Amino acid sequence: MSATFSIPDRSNIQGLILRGYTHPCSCHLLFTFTVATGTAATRSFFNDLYDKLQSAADWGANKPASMLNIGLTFNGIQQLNIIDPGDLANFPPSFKNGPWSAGSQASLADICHQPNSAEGIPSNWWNGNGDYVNENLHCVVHAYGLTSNDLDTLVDYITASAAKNGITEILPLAKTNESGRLYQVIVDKDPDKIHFGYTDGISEPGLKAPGTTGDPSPGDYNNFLIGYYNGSASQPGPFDTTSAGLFAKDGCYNAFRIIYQDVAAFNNFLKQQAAAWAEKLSFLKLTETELEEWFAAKLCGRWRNGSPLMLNPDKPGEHSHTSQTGEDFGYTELDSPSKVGSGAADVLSGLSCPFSAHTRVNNPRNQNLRVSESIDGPPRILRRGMPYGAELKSVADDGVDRGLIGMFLCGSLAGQFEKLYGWMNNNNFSDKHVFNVKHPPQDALLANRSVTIAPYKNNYSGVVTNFTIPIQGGDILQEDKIIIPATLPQFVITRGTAYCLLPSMESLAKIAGRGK
Amino acid sequence: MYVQINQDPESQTAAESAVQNFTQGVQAGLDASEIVHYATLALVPNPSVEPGVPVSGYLAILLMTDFDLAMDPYLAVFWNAAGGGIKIALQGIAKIAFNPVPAINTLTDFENFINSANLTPAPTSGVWTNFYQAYPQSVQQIIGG
Repeated sequence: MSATFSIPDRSNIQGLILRGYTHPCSCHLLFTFTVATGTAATRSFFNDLYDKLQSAADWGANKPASMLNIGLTFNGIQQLNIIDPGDLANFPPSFKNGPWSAGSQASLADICHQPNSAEGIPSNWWNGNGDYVNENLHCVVHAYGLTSNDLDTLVDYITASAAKNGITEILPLAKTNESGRLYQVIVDKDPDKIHFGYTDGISEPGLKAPGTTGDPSPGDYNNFLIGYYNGSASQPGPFDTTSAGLFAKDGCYNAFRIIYQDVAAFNNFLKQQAAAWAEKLSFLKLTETELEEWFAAKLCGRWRNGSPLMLNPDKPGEHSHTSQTGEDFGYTELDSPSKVGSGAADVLSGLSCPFSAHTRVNNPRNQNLRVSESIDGPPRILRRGMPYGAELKSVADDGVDRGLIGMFLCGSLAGQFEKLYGWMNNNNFSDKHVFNVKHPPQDALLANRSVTIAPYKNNYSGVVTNFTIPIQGGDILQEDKIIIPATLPQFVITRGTAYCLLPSMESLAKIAGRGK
Repeated sequence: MYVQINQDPESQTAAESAVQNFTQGVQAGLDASEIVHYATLALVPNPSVEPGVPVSGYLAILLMTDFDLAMDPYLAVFWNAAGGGIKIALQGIAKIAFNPVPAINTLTDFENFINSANLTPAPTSGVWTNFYQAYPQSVQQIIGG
């Protein structure tokens, strides 16, 4: 198959891929197709859903009151019998084997060793039913509504169709969490906030269509959409003319991930650090509460209102993470010719944004990268996230399951999503000027702090779990100081992950019996 | 990685040639990657029919290597490596495979070929029971990069 340079047709692409929805209400429903349901039943189910399916075509001035998108796991595609069996092997190994596989776990490293137990074990995912759900989860339906009534009506419609067609819903949360379903919640009356208090939700690399001018970059369409190879770094596949390649064209992979967030541990950590370092940081002239916010920003690389530390190093600014001005920055000291091409050119930026801050690790922008880590820049992902579980109202943990429903969209699950997770667990992607080679640190927010013990220790030699914040004292003649807080707590635990393909509208129409 | 090869003279000669030229072909790409500890290509002799009676020719080709980090996210490093020698070597092995291998034209084809021929995938338990290393450090940690 030769390289394709055509412009993708937005009306054939699911809307979730090319636009970050801002509907404040959503629910993410998991289903399994039992053998007994057969093709006619699944066709009927998808035919019902197709009426509500949202493409990436412009919806004009009137945002749909409710809509849905659909992801299929590899086992789901296999179960639907929509691709020639011999062609199923053409899908990439990570998608076929699933996120619980040993190959994927080498990067994701989800098993967290706590003092008295281990958590995040794939066999315990999905409310303790990992062994069953990992193999039998076939379909995830992402439902959105402008109001809770709109969403409830849509969820009732979807679940009624599933029940009618003998398709079984999987409840991913404990029933103590209301319905057991993954409903989006509103935190602090702000639909853009997550439980850790950051304004977040959507990450949108500048997507340039293939065939347009300029060299391809990791942010281009062809790094996300299957079927537009065109020199992309991630080279989404299958890229061929088999039934697998044709089915997958105009689709995109989604690493659908449920991440528990220990909000009490996070809040307490900020308070402890603010108190512990108040004297040393007195030159900042911040109140204790403001100092907590300062630590929160240093951990993330952005203030909790979303403004980046590189543009607003001293206090929260007006730059939004979704605005163009909020994205217009890098980490390399471009005006220092003697340092260009070396990690030394990145050192100064550490005074504004620590090297291991979460957003910097996940998108180091123009920071110098080791040869093995970059083809033409850091891998990018499209990120859609929303909180689940009731907001924490107390200082101490209340036992409620809460966290993030994360959707990480990419053209290559291994080359984009898993590679970035490897970076989070082991900050070794830039040279010795940025990261200590013998004792590399970790992402300040999301890493697994226990990677240096079995079963992952072979991949994480020397990794340390502290966090370095370069600072410059109030007296400019003073040398730079380094703060290293004690071992970072385990802020997050994986509750479940599914690798899905978000197929094209045409492929879903075919499953629904509407296509050619 | 273990690939049984065809017994025809052309395939056998190609296998010998692959081993002869392996280091030269992959040197630049593997050096640049800074993650590969070693890589060696070997030919597995055909099995004897009678004890003590040697048999000519080769049954299979065996690639033994160890590199830092997880496998799948870093296969692109080898597929895109400088000089193209690694890509050419593995495409050549696929062409003489006894069990037909689909043409390796894309990174996904390459990933599937490597995974299907890998005799030592990461263990499901996560704990290696068939691998020893004297040192756990990465290449970068060893060379002091």
